[in-house]
Amino acid sequence: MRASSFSIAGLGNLLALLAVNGSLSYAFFDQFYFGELPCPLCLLQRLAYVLIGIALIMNIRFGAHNAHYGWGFLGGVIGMMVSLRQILLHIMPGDAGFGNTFLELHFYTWAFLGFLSLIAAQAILLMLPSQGVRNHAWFARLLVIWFILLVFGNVISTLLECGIGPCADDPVTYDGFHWLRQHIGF
Amino acid sequence: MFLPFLTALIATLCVWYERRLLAFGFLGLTVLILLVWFRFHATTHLNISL
Repeated sequence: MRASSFSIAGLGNLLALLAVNGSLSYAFFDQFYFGELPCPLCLLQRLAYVLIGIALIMNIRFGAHNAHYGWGFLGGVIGMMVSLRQILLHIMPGDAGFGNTFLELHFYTWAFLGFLSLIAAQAILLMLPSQGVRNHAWFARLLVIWFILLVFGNVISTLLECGIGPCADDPVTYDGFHWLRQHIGF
Repeated sequence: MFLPFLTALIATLCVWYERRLLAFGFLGLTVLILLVWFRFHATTHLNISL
């Protein structure tokens, strides 16, 4: 019997990676277009999205495996922990919250919903047959390359924003860039 | 705070070049650094009682 090339779990992994890439790309759009620098907790939330993304690209490159989904769940739980922490920081009545809003919700609230959705999506994907998830087609490669470029962009952006130490609580300038210019002549 | 992004980038490159176990190692390192930074920001740095 010929194996079918179409896999619902494979499609689900690609769509989940598309969602991760979209979220990280929108975060960059907000950073560069609106000039809003990410706070330390926002950076940790980006990192949690990156952890989920790595779990998804492992499924796409190597095939579905419980260990990959495990890392994805761990990334989702860590992301929920950080974003919930930030929600609780601004939960008092009268608190304007931190940063811009999107469709009347702050980004950290959207991030919480995103982590919740990605955990649920991975739980469903884990229940589906795992054949056909490994995918080296051009669309899958494009998504993986897009994701790698986003992670690389985050390395550079965070280095320029924070330098090699901790970031400012409410960053308004690229302190790391000034630090690098002073110490390395960059 | 750029260090966990750097280890995550190395993990993604390990995945691209199909070095699965090495990718797991860097992924674990990323999680550890992330948790240290989270603890720093959630306790000492922001000085908010949990």
